[in-house]
Order: sequence, then C-alpha cells, then structure tokens
Amino acid sequence: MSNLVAPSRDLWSYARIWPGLAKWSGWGLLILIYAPLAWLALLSFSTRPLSGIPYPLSLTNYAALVHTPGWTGPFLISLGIALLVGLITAVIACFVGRAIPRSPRAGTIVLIALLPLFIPGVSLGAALFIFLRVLLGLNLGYWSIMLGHVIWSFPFALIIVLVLTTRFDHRLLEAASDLGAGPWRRFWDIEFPLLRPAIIGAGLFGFLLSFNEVQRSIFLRGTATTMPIWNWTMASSQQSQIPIIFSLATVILAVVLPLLCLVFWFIFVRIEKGR
Amino acid sequence: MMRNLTQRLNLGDGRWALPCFIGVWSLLVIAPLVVLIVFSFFQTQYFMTVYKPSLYTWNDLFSSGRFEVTLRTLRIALTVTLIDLAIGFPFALWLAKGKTSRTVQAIALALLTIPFFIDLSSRIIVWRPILDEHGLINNFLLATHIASAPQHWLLYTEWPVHFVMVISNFPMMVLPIYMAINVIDDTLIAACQDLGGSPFRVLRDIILPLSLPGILGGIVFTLGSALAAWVEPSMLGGGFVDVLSNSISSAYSALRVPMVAALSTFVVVLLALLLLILTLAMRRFVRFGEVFRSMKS
Amino acid sequence: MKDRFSTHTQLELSRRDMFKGALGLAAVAATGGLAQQADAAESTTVRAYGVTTAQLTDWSVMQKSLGITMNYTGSNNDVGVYMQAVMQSGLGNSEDIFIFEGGTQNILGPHGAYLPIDVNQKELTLWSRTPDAWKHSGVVVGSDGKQWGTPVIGNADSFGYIASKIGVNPNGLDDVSWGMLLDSDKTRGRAAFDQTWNYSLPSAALYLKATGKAKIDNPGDPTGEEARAVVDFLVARKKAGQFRTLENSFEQQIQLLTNGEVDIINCWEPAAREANKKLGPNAVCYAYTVEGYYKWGHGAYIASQAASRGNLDNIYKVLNYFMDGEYRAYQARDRGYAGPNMDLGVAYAQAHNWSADQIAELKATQVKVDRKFQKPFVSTTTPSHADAIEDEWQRFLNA
Repeated sequence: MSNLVAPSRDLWSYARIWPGLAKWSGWGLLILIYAPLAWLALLSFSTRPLSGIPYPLSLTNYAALVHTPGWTGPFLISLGIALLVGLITAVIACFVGRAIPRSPRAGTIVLIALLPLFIPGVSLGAALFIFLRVLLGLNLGYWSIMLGHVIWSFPFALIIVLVLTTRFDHRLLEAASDLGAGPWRRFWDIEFPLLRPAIIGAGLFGFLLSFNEVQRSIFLRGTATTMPIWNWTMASSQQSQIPIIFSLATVILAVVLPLLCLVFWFIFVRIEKGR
Repeated sequence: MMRNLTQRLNLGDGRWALPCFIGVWSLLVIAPLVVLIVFSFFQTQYFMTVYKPSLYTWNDLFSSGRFEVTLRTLRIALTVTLIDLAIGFPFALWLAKGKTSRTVQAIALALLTIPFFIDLSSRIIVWRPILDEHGLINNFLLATHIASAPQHWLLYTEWPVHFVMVISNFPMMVLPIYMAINVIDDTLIAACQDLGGSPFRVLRDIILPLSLPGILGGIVFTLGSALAAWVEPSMLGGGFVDVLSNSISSAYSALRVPMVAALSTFVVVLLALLLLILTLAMRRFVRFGEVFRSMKS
Repeated sequence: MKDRFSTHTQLELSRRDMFKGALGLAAVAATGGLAQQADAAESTTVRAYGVTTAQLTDWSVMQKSLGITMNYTGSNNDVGVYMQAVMQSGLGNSEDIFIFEGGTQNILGPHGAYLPIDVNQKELTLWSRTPDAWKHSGVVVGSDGKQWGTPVIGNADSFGYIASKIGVNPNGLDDVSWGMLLDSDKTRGRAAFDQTWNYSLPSAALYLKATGKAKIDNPGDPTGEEARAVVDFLVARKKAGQFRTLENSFEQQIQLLTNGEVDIINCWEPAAREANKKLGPNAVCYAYTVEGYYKWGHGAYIASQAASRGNLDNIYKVLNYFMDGEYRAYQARDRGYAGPNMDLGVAYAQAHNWSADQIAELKATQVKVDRKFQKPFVSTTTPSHADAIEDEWQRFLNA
C-alpha cells in the first residue's frame, strides 16, 4: 500500500491486523467445517463408528457399503434429479436474472421470488402436496420431486445471478447492437461469457440443494425413493445405517474434493489467463 | 432462419422472461401457499381436517404458547446470521481483493462448496462424540486441569446449536459476497487510494455500496437456511431447543395441517414486519427496490 | 369443497382419476402409473408400502420360499406422512399391501382405504393356529370390530438401563419401575427420554396411572385433560433436571448408551442389543417393568383397490408368510422382535441348522414376550385426541 498523499484520517484502518484477522477467522471457520469431516472419514474405518473411537481400524464399513442392496438405485436417482434441477434452475435463473434489473418493479419481483426460502420445508411440501395431489389430482413421482427442488433452489440461483447482472454494463450490448449483432448473438457472445461464473454458481446451488433435500421430497415422492428419502425411511428400520452413511460420505468427499478444486481452478485460473 | 425467428419473438432480448416467470411462479408457488394460508382457518380433529372456517387454530397457537417457537427460531437465526456476516464479509473481501492468488481462491471456493455434498446429519452426528461428557473437549479440559468436572453445557443446550449452525451456514454467507466483491473493478479501488482514501474510506465508499446485492444475498441465504434448520437443533439441542421446523414436523405427525399453516404464516408475517422496519430504518442509505436494479456506472 | 378433501372420497377420487383431463393423463403416462398397474395384475410381484422396520434385510429369502417377488417401498414411522400418503396419494392404485404400526386401521379402514381381511381365504392357512392375542389385537382389528389386517411383528417396549449404575439386579430379570426413568434421584441428569409425543407421553401416563399420581383411564389413548396432567408432571421433572437429553433417533440411542452419557433411556430394544455389541453382553438390560409396557405391533393391510387386480391369492400368501416361521426367525434374529407363531420360527431355525445360540435366543424371545404381554397397555398411532396431546407435548418441549 503505497500512499503518496499522507493519510490524515482513519489511521486505525491502516493497521495490518485487519487483513490478517479477516483471513484467519475465515480459515478458522473452514477448519471447523473440515475437522469433523476428517473425523468422520477416520471413523468410517472404525469398527464402531458411533462410539467416536477410531480404532480398531478395518474396512468392514466399506464391505457393508458394497454388499448392502438398495442404496445404489436411490443414489443414482438423486444424482440424476440433482443434475436436472441444477440445469433447469441455472437456465431459468439466467433469463429471469437478466430481466429483473431492467424492470421498474425489481424489488417486488425479487421478494416474491425469494418467498420459498422463508417457508419451512415441511410447510412447502405440504402446500404443494395439497395443491398438486388433492386439488389437481395429479400422480406424484420424480417429476413432482424435481418441481419441489426447483422451487426450493431457484431463489438461491436467482440471487447468485443477480449479483452479476446488476453490475452488468448495458452499454456493451448497445455497442454490439451498433456493430450489427442480433439479440441472440449479443447474448451468446457478450452477455453469457460475462455471466458465466454466476450461471455456473446457480447451477451448482441447484444441484447441491437438490442432492440432499428431504423435507419437501417426502411429500412429493409418490412411491419414488431418492437417497435422502432412503436415509429417512431407513432411520426407522432399527438397523444402524451409520456404517453405510459414513463410508459413503467419505467416498463422496474423496471423489468430489479434487474434482471441485479442479472445476474452480478451471473457471477462475484458466479462463482468467486465457483472456 | 433461427435468427429471424428469435428476432421476431424478441427472444434474445429477454423481456419475455419476467411475465412468463411471474405467471408460472404464481401458479406453482403463490397459489399453493394461498391454499395453505386458507387451511390455517380450519382445524384438525382425530387426523381429519374439519372444513369449517374458524379462528380455532390461530387462537390455539397463541393460547398454548406455541408461537414462542417462532420467536426462538428467529432469535437463533438472526444471531447466527450476524455472526456469519461479521466473519464472512471480511473473509470474502480478503479472498477477492486481498492479493490472494487465483489458485488459493479456487481451493477456498471448492472447500466452501464441498460440505453441501454430504448429508447434514452425518456432518452433525460427529460433533456429539466431540462435545459429550467423555468427549474430546471434556477430556482435554480435564487433562489440562482447566476444568475440574465435565462441562455439561457443551452439549444439549442452545450453545452447541448456535456454534454448529454458524459453522454449517458460513459458506452461504461467503459465496454471494465473494462473487459481488470479485467483480468490483480494481481500478476504482486504486483510484480511491491514489486520492488519499484510507482503507476504511475504500471499504465504505466503494466496496460496500458496490457489493450490496451480494451482502443482501448472503444475509438472505444464511437467514433462510438458519430459519429452516431442524437437524442441528434436534441433534445437538437435545430436545431443549424447540425450533420452527421441528414444531411443524411434530404438528404434521398428527396431520394438523392447519397448525402447520398457521405457524408458517406467522413466521412469514414476522419476517415481513422485520423487513418493513429495516427498510424504514435504512431508508436514508439504501432502497431495497433499487439494490437489484441496474447500476448506473 | 368439504367432500373433496375428506377420505370418504378416497375411492371416488380414484374413480375420478379415470376421467381426468388431458393434464392428468399426461402426468399419469409420464410417471408410468398406468404401466405399473398393468404389471401388477399379471406378474407374481407383490408391491408393498410401509415402514422399514417390517422389511427383511433381503427379500430374496421370501422369493425362494414363495416364488413371489417383493417390491417394497419404504416409509418412515411418521404416522402423519404415512396416513396422508395412503389417504390422498392414491397409493392403493399401485400398491397391494400397506404395513404400519397399529391404529391407522381405525381411520383408514372405515374410510375405504383398506380391504377387510377374509379370514377364510384359502392362502391364509395359518390363521386358525395363530393365537388370539395376535390376531384379535387392537393392531389388526378396528375400533369398529372389523378385521382390517393381519399381524406382522410386535414387541413390548420399555427402557434400557445399565444395572450397575442404577443399583438393580444385574441379570436384568427384575421388574424395574418406570419411576426409575422419570422420577428418581438416582438417575437425575442421567436419563434420556424420547422426543416424540406419540412414543413418550403414553409411557409417562402409564407410570402416573399405576402409581396413582394422576387419574388416567387408558394410557394408550389419553384425553386432553389427562395429557395435560402428564405434561405437568413431565415439565416439573424436566425443570428438576431429570433428563440429560430428549433423544430422537436410533443412532442417538446407541450413542448415548455406548458413550456413557446416560444410564437409563426409553429406547427401542434393538438399540440395547447394538450397544451390548460394544459394551459386552448384558451391559445394557432392556427392562422388565413393574407397571407395564408400550405394546405395539405392525399390521399388514390390503389396499382396497387390490380387490380387482386379480392377484389376491399372492397377496394373501404374503400375509400368511408374515405369520410363518421363516419371517419370524429372521425378524427375531435381526431385531429381537416377536410376532405370532414364534414356535414356527424355532422350528424353522432348527430345520435350517441355525446355531444353538441363535435357537436359544429365539426361544428366549418367546419367553420374554409372553412375560411382558401379561401387563398393560396397547399403544396406538392414532389416539383419539392426537391434536390435544400434540399441543401438550409442545408445551413440554418449550418449557
């Protein structure tokens, strides 16, 4: 921080402690997020995972994971639903998020769109059930689970998109228009690349919120079973599912952690350099 | 041909998106919620809804003291949101503008996103053997003679509920704020500094106003998730921290849809009041409606 | 408006399904609803929807014995979700059998969701030899006196305790009072109670009734006034610091016992077994009590729409299987749960060369249940004043 002009006010804000404090309190919380996850991964190798004692170590939980029938189907279904929900929310949030900043009623529309975020999951599930099943008489299934998830994750996706679209400089589009670009080209060549991080973020939120969603799914499932629903039903089977849940979580962690680092590195580092 | 079509329909312009969205949203979200609100004026007897309009359920909500659940939930959610904001905003600022390398940023973002992949209950369940009577923390306290007896408040009180909710909602706060700060033009900041602006002035005059949509987003994300929390309170609160979601589930298990409806309506009304007060109080500085409109740069 | 939501119209609703508009038909086609119905009529698959406790770990055992494939859709033990699903989801259009804890037949039976059981059906061969205590209990017979279901499994629930810590006979055979869990200085701050109203409140009511501390007619089905008296007592105990925690899951029950966080807990019996795997045999005793037990059972009920699907024989074969030795033996081995015709379970184990230990355990299960079933009370998932009880329970949680 080089300052040619001598600072006359707010001397305290130059103190080196502030960036350090910001950095380390944040990393501190990240450590608090990951310490239990690491502990969970360790316990997944324990013969008695619930006791909180990691020894004696063994692979029995992983053997149980492989040999237990029933969870793979729901797991793949959850994955499929989450991917679709991510895609759908990203596309809708992209178009709605582009239009809102140009609307004179932006605040009201955002508030209406945010509503599902503040309705408890069971209530929204029950409301949709009454509406779709009891009033309209539709047969519930994967489609209604997906609908519930899109409604739940859309507010998140929209906010993420709005963060960038409100900062978007529309003079860029006018310039492109002056150069003879059609509306589709203007969107695809200029707007989309600039909004890409937000659209990817919106899709990611859609995927993640759908993947573990259980409260709304319970009402909208018909007879369909996703991974969280499977966990929910097995909670009353009176056979401990923890060996399976812990080892599955560890496998997911081991697969997703490097993958996601790579994705973010690609988005932020590669693209940045490419410019 | 494609271009002709899109031009004729004005597809690329995107103005069609809002009316479409509002139409579909009204049908799929607003209509079911209105139906739910209507249910709050019915009542349940022996697992059956009695379709006779009355204020019975609303009366019950207040006379049985059940509405306290919503106040407790709001208090916990607001506390958690404020703590996360206090830690999350500086961290997002450091991450985006603290001369942090792109690789570190990518890793931090990945680390913030990963927890969502893992079922919340399994993330919470491991806290119990850490915090319980013979757990890691108590063993440490006893071994180092910091405490002479096991500390029972570490688990099954409001304390661990707050503590773990701050942790699990932290990414919700950081991600949108980071995105907002990240797109702020560095030249603006440099210009302000060259004019002798202190770090405080840069923060107040440039970063805060320009990242406002992100900050509001972070607050909304965190508050929303914290209000909906049900895993932390029931797993770490030991049944002594009754919150909205758990109360609603309990009501539903007796098929008391009217009570579910009344509780949800009440919490939305409380939030609306809160927003109104905030809007009035902040009127001089920010206008909510303007935050999400295009900025005139 | 009124009729539209009530369960009286459950069947009417499904009839209306047939005349649904284009939108509805498209949705039915999209979810494969029609295809499933056609399937069920012809194949040897029986489709069941119900709580996962009744599941065999592996249904292929049944397939080998009966030649019938089980397609089981699991549900949780939340009675609200289950009843809503059966009443209004039209599940009977695709499912043949519903399995749930007793009580739902009092509502769902008269309202047309369940088909009355034909006890003379030719595939229900074991009916005549099944003891009355099982086949005529409040789990399968409705409050209207009709036979709505057949028995599946059951148990008498009490609480688990660590004998050395609370100073009772360590062989676990003595009767212990519920007061040890709810009302004793020996266990203050070392007791765990279940978080849900339908599991915990009736047991506390039983204790108050038996000790004369409150006037309660039927602990399984208390009135609003009675529930208030029970909650008043529980609030006082909560304020006195009796409960270390109010637990809410099977995993937590095991965790609390194995980590030494509590000495006494009103848990499910399999949790005590699971804890003993770590703590050593008989470290946790599942109590014989002075006052009585939370006696529950799962019933199997036939979906009323299944009457016209042409596979009733297969459905009755499965109901019969739930009362037969193979299912009995596996349920007792995996969960320690009893059911009708335990002697057939023992015979099955002997015929299939199970170890002497396992056979002894099956016999012990029989003896245990016989002893416990002498005492009150039969629980129900649908108490008449559920709304008042639920309200009172919230007062306890908020106190």
